[in-house]
Amino acid sequence: MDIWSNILTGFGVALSFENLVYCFFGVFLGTFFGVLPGIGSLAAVTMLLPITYYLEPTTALVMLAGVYYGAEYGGSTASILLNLPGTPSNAVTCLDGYPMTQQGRAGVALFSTTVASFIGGTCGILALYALSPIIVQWALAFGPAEYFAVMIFGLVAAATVTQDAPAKGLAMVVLGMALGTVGSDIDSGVARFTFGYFELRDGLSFIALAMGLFGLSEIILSIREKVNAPFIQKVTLRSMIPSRDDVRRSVGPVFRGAGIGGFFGALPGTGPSIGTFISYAIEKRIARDPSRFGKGAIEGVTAPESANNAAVQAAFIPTLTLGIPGSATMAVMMGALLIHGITPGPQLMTQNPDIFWGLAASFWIGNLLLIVLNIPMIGLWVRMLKIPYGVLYPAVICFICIGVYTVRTSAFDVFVVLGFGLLGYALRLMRFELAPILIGFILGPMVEENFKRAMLIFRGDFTRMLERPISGTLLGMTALLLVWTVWTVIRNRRRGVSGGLAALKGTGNRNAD
Amino acid sequence: MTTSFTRTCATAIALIGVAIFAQPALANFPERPVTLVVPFAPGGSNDIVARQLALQLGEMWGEPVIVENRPGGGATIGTGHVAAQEPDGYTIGIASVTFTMNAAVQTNIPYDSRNDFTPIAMIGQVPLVIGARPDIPATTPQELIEYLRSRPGELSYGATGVGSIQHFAGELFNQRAGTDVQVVQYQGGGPALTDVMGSHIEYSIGSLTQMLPQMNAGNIKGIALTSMERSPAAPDVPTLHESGLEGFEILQWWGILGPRGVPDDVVATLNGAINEVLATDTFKEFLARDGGEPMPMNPQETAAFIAGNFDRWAEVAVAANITEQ
Repeated sequence: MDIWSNILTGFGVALSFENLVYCFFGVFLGTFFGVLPGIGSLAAVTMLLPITYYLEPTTALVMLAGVYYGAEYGGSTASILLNLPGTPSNAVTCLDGYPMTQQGRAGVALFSTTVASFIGGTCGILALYALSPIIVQWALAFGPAEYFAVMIFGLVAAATVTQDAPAKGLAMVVLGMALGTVGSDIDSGVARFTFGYFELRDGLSFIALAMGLFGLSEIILSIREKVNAPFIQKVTLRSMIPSRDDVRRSVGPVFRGAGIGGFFGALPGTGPSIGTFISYAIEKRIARDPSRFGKGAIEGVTAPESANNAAVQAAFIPTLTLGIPGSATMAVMMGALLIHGITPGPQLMTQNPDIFWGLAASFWIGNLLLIVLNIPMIGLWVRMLKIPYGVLYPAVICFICIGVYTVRTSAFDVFVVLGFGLLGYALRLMRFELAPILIGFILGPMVEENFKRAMLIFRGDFTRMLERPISGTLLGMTALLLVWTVWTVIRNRRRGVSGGLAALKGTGNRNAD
Repeated sequence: MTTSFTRTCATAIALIGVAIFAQPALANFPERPVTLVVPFAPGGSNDIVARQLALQLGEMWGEPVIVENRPGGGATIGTGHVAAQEPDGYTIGIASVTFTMNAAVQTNIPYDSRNDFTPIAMIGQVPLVIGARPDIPATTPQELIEYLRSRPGELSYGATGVGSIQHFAGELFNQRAGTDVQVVQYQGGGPALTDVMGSHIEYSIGSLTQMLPQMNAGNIKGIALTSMERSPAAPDVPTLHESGLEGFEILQWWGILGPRGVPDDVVATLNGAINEVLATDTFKEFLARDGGEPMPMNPQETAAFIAGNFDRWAEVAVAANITEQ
């Protein structure tokens, strides 16, 4: 079996007129839905699923895949322009993307995102081509103990995403983890912190949480601050092109992001968000001047976006080759295949090679279409910011409510948005960072579940977790990271509050400025 | 222009009015789209079965059947939503064996599972299979039981939550085989299966639908079926019943329910239409592909079947000590 002939077959399938049209259609619709606040890739794919019933299976999948990564990409637009993250991964993009908008650099942010996403996506696809069988074997070596170790590592790395006051950041991670405990405990069935609401049995909705904390609180803040169209944007092509400095800063982070995202995306038990969190944390760690992060650092946008798109593509590896979806969106895509009578799984590559390779080729074409489609659109999106807030914000609130309602057809979640909008507003007034809440919320329950699973399997013997090569190594790295962090703090204390820390003072206030 | 438009509208409204009042309620069921509620997120077996059924019903009726996913609360939110709707047949829901198991396990459900629903029709059933890790030192059910007995209190199996079908099957198996294997809960059959494939746990007892592709690829060992007879989809896999655990039967099934008080003629129409879909080759092949088969029943048989399940799982839950704390 020659891989090149497979790839050629794939492009032959993907470049058929029909597939090309539907790919474009899917990418376009996906971007459109993704830009709408509150509608993430899951909602977009679910809504468009029925359309694909009457299509050829390959065409249906090509279109749905286009919707999927189109929506993931579109979510970053709303994050950058309006501080409205549609998915957990996009929450990371808000951190530096929104400050860039506030500095009048929205065009640059969107342009860089488009290019970074394309590079990340391409790397993910290359991994899909070349490494699928190897990655799958390797991913199976990850059991509960290994996932626990990865998540703990992610959590510790994430704690460093925070700005100046480590205690405040840590408090927010813990708050996020606490919010993550709401819902039925999987081992006992006990409903925790549901206060008798059946809607809370499956936990708080992430979308509602993120929309409230980030989007709604921003809007409430704008009432108080009485902002008058603060960022006048020039929408010339020149204003979108990143400067040489931007490019220089981004090259390394984009490729590191692609690697990290591809790695985590291929693990069936993680989903794309962890890769983006970790890639952001790593860039901040190794940056010469970490204080730039959170204030519009370009690599704070390009690295996680590249990681996100690489993860999105790599997430197809376990779905297509094992038949095990890595995320809820992937589960819907698998459902689409099943409806067409194709069982995704170990035999897909041999039994339906045209589907497998056609899909892989269409991913790349779709990513290319994303660039073609979106670069001319950037001007349009940025112009949106010229809409007076009195018109824009009520419309955004409407979209948030509709989006959040659609995800679970639940009016309850709309009230959750309201509650978290108020909480987010209060926390911002007190100069707390909000991103760590989301990280704790996502990773906390995964850490808990995998830890409990591992302890059940090992019959409570923690040392068996340390004996296993992967989990042992990861836990060791986590310990080193902790020691290093503590040591850095002590060293800085000894030197007095020196340059670096002094520069950090006040940076945590950007949200409330 | 405007007047003629207004007049057209008025005429149309009048005609609709006539249509509503002049027609007997049921001359032509359905006269508008029917909603089929799935109490799970898209992508699971309930969702896939519901979507296939909806597709074919819609084609047959010429009215769309809209699949509405209302996940949450371990299916109680979506199922509760069905119970609260107008009993006119325009909102129906899919229910699976889990619906009758939940009633036995969950202490606090927002509806009366036995009395708040109108059983309408059965869809189909699929056996479960013990899917074991690829390197387990056993091939036959007898060897598996022997191996499990030789290491009591050391081994684990995967299930998908307290009172899930996998949990019921696993505890029933422990009880009947006299083994002591620890349950480990996962967020869905997929993750549990991954851990079996990676040899992190010994086995998971899941639907043939999910296991078959992995069995064929050699990623897991299909040791035994939980049905009374072998399945045409996996003819080489023995049943537990024939391997010494006589009468061991636990099947995944799906049925259609409405809110309490759907009129008998509407139930009959729906039942007839669903059974017509079940009889098509398309639907049979759809189920057979994954080892399932249609189970056409009239409304009375459906009601009796579901009532029987309530009784059976209540007994098993007590005997195997499956409860929510």
